[in-house]
Amino acid sequence: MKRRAFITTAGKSLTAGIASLLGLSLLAKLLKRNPAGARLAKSLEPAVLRPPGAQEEAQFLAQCIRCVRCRDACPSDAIRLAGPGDPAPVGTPFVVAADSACTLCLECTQTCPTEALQPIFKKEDVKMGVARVDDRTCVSINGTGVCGACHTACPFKDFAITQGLHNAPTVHAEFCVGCGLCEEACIVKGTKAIRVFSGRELAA
Amino acid sequence: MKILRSQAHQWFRHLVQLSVFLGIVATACLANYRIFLSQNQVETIRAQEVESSPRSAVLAMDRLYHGSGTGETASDPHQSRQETLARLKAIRGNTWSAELYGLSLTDPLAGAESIAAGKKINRALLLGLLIPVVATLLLGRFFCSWICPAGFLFDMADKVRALLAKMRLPLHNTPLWHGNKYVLLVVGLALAGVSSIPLLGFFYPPALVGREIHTAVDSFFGNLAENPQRAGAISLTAISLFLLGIVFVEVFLSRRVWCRCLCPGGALYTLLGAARLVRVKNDHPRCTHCTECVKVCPMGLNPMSHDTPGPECDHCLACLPACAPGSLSLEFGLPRISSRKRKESSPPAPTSSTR
Repeated sequence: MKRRAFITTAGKSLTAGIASLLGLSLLAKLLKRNPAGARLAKSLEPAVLRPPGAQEEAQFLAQCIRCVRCRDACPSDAIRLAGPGDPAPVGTPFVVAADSACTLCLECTQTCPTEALQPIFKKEDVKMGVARVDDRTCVSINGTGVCGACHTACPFKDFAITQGLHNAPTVHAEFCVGCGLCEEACIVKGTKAIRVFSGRELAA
Repeated sequence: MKILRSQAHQWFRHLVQLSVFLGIVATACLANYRIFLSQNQVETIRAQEVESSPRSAVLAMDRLYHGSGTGETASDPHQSRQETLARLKAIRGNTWSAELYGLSLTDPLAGAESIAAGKKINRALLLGLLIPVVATLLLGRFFCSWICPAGFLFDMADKVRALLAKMRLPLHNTPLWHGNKYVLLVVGLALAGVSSIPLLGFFYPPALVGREIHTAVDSFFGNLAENPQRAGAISLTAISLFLLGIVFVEVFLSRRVWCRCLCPGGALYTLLGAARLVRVKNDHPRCTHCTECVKVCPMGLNPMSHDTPGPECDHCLACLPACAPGSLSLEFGLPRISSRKRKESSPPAPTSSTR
């Protein structure tokens, strides 16, 4: 008798669960087909820098189990785990390059248990984003000084960043890995003159 | 096995749980120390005028790894620091997913969720799942009572409950259906598959405890090198409230309700360990039906009624010292098929595999 009750309750709850799932997935599909819904979904996506080796955002969010291994592996305090109020979904790792940039040690990519960060062994293979220079605030470009801090900090100097008149930097996107060391080094206070944008931000 | 009759193994179990808990705290502390070390900030912190607890913690870890301050390591501090950095790589993470000396260990629930949500199986994940899954296949749901940091928390809450009960406080024990956890597991995994987000990780106490410890330790060390005044505060998030809520419910409303009835991880461990090789076994002729084992079982099982308490038993072994006639013992070996049916027809014969 007990077993029969168990089976019927389990069956009922399973059917209820599957039905609600089907409903939810249908709703999600309708929402995605609707342009307004698609725009909403896009705006909910965070525009943050992920650690090196991160998969495309949706796949990354699916595979990342929100453990802390990448953060434990990071020796430069670059990787932070998002809490409530941070621009990334709670528990996921992200990098604020202006505070502490990625030094490309690639420890995090090799410790990730689910390959949400795919293992990388060469610095050149990283693609976290691309740096962009703001011509109005960069002191070497707007003529208020001669700086060159970003060029000095760049791990691929003379490839990713080249210098012109008064050390004015030019970023070459094909060599820039988006580590953000230039952004960390930039002497401009407040919003830095050179900033790394993730692929999603560039596409938007 | 005389030791199984004494309380000693319960103390040993709590010791194991405590060391796992402290190990997570230590891992988080060492991760912070490693950051200070690699950024050459240890000397800055040493020179600080302000005496604070995070500063003394960093100095204590430095003493642990470099002897007494600037003594014998002063000859080549840079090289010794690099060696320490390499050594500190040994331990990372928490029970949700850990790396111990290059060995990856991932909670089966984490793996199941990652596969369900990501729809991809990869080598790193399988390697990490290998040891926990094999251990569970052989030993059953031992993780819950021996390793789980949340289980430790709830075990201690259970001790508080027992204390309050002794003081004759009115404590409720609302029963809940044990099968809830399987429903939660299936629905959670299916939802993870549909939404492509590992949702169960947000409700799974051991993962939350590990993450919360890291949050607390990170905020404790804070910005110690640059901003010593602001470090030293421990900030906790809503996760702590959720965990405290479970503790409150378990102490006053329903005993060990999370592990018994709601934990999706416990459900997965139960399913994996259904054919485990170690079981608590009741030797029926000696059993006096005193129900002491039923009272003491934290999982709300009945070790007395059948040959074994069933796959939900998490091998905490609390029932063994409680059994006065000594009819409960541990049994090793493959489970006998349809033991329950045979018991109904005829009294079970004592087996030779009993230890």
